[in-house]
Amino acid sequence: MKTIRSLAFNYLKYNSKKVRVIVLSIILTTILLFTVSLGTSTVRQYKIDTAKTEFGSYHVTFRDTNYDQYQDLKNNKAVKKVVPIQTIDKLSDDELGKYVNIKNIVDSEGKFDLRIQKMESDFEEVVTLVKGRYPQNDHEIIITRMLERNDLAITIGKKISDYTIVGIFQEKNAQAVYNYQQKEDGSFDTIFTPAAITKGNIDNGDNIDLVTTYKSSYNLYNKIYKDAQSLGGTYEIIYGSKRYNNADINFQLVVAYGQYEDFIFQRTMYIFMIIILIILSAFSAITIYNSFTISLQERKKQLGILRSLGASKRQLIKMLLYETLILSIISIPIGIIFSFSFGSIIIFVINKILENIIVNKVKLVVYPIFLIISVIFILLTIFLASFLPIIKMRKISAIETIRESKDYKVLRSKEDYPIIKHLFGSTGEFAYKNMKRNKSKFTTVLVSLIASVVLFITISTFIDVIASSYGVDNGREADIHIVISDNEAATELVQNIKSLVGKDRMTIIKERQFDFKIDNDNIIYDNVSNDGYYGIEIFGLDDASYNRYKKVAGLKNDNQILLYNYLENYDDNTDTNTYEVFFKDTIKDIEICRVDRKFYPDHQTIIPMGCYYHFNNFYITYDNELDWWSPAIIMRMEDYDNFINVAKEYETEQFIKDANSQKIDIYSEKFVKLDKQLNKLFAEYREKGMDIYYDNASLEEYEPYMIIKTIRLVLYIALIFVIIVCLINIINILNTSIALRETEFAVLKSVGMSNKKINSMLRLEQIFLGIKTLLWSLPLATGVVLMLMKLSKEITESGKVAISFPLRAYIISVVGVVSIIFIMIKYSISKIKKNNIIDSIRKQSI
Amino acid sequence: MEILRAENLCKIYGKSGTKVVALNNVNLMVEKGEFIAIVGASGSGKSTLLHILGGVDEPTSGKVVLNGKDIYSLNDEEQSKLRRREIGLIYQFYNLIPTLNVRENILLPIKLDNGKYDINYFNELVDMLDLNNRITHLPSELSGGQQQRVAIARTLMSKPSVLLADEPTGNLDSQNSKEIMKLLTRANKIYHQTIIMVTHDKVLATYADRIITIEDGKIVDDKKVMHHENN
Ligand SMILES: Nc1ncnc2c1ncn2[C@@H]1O[C@H](COP(=O)(O)OP(=O)(O)O)[C@@H](O)[C@H]1O
Ligand SMILES: [Mg+2]
Repeated sequence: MKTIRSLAFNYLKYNSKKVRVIVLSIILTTILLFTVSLGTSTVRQYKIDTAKTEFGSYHVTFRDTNYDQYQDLKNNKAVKKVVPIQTIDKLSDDELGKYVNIKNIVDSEGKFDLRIQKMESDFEEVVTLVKGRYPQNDHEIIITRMLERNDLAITIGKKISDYTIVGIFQEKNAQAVYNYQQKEDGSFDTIFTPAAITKGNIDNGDNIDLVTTYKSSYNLYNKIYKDAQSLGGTYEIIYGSKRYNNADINFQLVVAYGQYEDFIFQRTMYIFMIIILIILSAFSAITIYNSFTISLQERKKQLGILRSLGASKRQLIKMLLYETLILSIISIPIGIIFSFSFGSIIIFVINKILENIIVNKVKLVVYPIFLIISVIFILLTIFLASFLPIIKMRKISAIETIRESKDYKVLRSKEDYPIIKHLFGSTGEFAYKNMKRNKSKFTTVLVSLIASVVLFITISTFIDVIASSYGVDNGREADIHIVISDNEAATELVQNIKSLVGKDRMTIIKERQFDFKIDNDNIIYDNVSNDGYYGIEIFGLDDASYNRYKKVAGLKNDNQILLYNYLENYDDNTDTNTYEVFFKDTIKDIEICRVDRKFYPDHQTIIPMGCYYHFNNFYITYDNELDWWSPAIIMRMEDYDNFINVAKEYETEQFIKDANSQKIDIYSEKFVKLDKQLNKLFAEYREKGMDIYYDNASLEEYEPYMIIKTIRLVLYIALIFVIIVCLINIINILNTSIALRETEFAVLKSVGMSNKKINSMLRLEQIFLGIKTLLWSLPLATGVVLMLMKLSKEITESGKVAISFPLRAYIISVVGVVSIIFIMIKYSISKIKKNNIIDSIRKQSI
Repeated sequence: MEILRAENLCKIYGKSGTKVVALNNVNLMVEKGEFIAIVGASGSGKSTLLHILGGVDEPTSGKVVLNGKDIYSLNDEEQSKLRRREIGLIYQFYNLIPTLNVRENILLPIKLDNGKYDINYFNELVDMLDLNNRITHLPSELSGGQQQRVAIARTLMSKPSVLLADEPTGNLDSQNSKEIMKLLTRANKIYHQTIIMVTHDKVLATYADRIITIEDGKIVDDKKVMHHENN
């Protein structure tokens, strides 16, 4: 055994160049497979961490238990921690009214109960403290952030009943805190009953909620169901799984643990992942298989000598397997280190990009069990892939191998390839036969190329699938929408906003609906019997924005622009909407009548119309869905103000106030930065009593958008990485194969083949290789793409294929393959030139 | 005493169309301690015969009996053992393992077996073959003659029943060739080593005590050589 080991060891020591291909392929395999497990555990851990931060680290809250049940659960071996919350008091509407003006908090019914609960400790299990401190005795409470109102003085220091507010919290465990009660009829109590929490010992009574965490996340549902049942809960089957009425599961966390099965999106994602994993493994296995075959072929003679010296087949197999083991021991850690560094870089980039979005930083994690499984998996792949060629080696009898590499026999193949000969001449046929003869070497290169192309196309498509499932890129006119009341401070505020926005697009809008009388001359078709009056929206725009629209509409003067040629008409009798009015392109002046024509039928103002123009996406972020289709008029702000001034005397105060509120639409790429600045600015003005509505639609989509962007980036980096390793692999194979074929070329030269001929032979070999690559990879990739397209149906709500055929990826692939082949040709030819005939012939390689 | 016997050996290469009969019903008996030279034209089947006698190539029909054992009826493990212990092969291209040094190469067959060897015998061989100061060199650092001497030492080390050599001097100049022939003769005389050597050099063949001539896969002549000089 010692000799076998030292033979193996010596071989590796003196042939480091030759085994480099194997080492590389093992490293590649390790990286590919390990990265998958690294990625999976990192994503899983991130989901768990985030769920814990946002929703708490408990698994379930059992409601309405008593003291004995609490003790029982505490003694349950599977349970790690139980945090009890006991409801001790409920300040009703009336009682609370003594302390705060509850009508101002809850506007609808004014119903408002405050539940006082006590906890012994572990407040952070259910809430996150935002301000102040946790209660230290049973006279101190902390209240939810929803209740904190400066204007009502419900804040730290304020006394409610016997309790002094000492802190403000943001709830994690909403159920435990709000304590919605199920009523007799099964429905939930909808009265807003936020909780306040005080500190106190749990007493031997009822009304205890138990915030429970189990020791292990394994089989969580069953454990929860069992305990829920023993605590007296009853269940219903909802969507195929049990829901106990006394158990509020920390759903997000349980899902993060992977304990929730019927979630179609996740399942589809897993299918995608598995497809990619299979491609990667197959690709790795084939690469390893081929590099082993090559290396063994090179060693045929040596193995033959060993046979003739009396080494048994078993000894040889042992030796080869031992070599594989040594190579694995060297390469696997390198691969793992590589994937870790690669992973760290990616995580760093992700954390940088998503800095403002994600709750927790993403941490690179690998679970020990995942590490072990992936190493076993990698070892299995390596040994399976190397075992076949080793086993094949057994068939070789000693004598054949000793004889074989003694000299190069110029190829004498019985087979002819008339088509190749016809297309590429006799050199072409010769090159083709050469390829057949050096099959395993070419196969490895072929597989590397094919895998690169298939991976490239597949991953590009995969990226599209992910992107389509989020529906980013909606091509809006504006992202940020602000509404402010039009008082003395408004002008200054607008000015401040303007300076923050800078050069980006900002539209100031005032808007109101009025009734207009429209002449039949202006209408193409009208079967609505409403004596010629129509509700029309009028928009006053700041000059710059007005001019922008004017230009698009091609209007010469500063007249009004009519938008949309539909008028929505609601029919009381049939309870349907009709869209019946069509304006002429050459619409003339229309008359306004005031908003409520029934009361002021006389007043009329003439508005001169400039033109009719249909804008597809005129302003309106907040109304992007645009469920109304009403004609609208765009006018300059000055005209709008004049218009409102005229209308003023007839309208209610509220109407005028609304009419004067300003809407500001902003379209800006730097909406994240702007968000922070605007919030600061608005806080200032709100203090001064200004009503400001602010909505940053981009921000809502920013998270999925950035996540998609990041996933894309990561996938592309991964892809580039795989392709680079592929190329290194190819270069390596070329090197060894050229070294091996030195004798062949030398003999060919010595029998009179010119350099030019040899070069053109080489060139043709590579060209055949390129053609073969494309012939294999394009149909293969197409198969995978079609599968992905089919699967994408499942994750998009509409059930339509959301992705288009990735033509671009195909074009890139073809161009890529052609350039790689070109480089390979250049490279091989430059290598060969350096060798001289006699040197090559003389070199005796065993 | 008979040590090796070949009965009705036939070896046919290729299929019916391109059939080559390399050995045609060869019968041969070898006594212990004999030094046999097999001569014949190129392609006459010398190497084929030698390889079949050495258990590295299988005959199409017929059998080879070494020390009473029919070597082609043994399983791989037993056959390998036989090759390790009882057969020594020497080739025209020395076929040393390039990654092992001289010492390791010489001891390889022993190490592949039970690993026990006689250090005195090793030293004696190294002395006789004049490899003393080359013992830690790699094959690539040796001349052709030296490499062939290492190959001979490797073969002799396991004290095989028969030593089979296929044109051992084919790749050497005449000076080195003579050296090698002297060494083989010496091994034959000192250790009573049975040797079968293939050569196409009539002069070198005269170092042997028995010359077998082969033509088209058939033994056409088999005669003893009388040595007049006294070694
Ligand atoms: N592997 C093989 N396949 C086909 N024919 C072979 C093979 N090996 C040897 N031969 C043929 O068998 C005959 C004997 O070869 P060989 O024993 O090597 O001759 P020698 O050693 O006498 O020169 C030759 O005609 C040779 O061409
Ligand atoms: Mg021969």
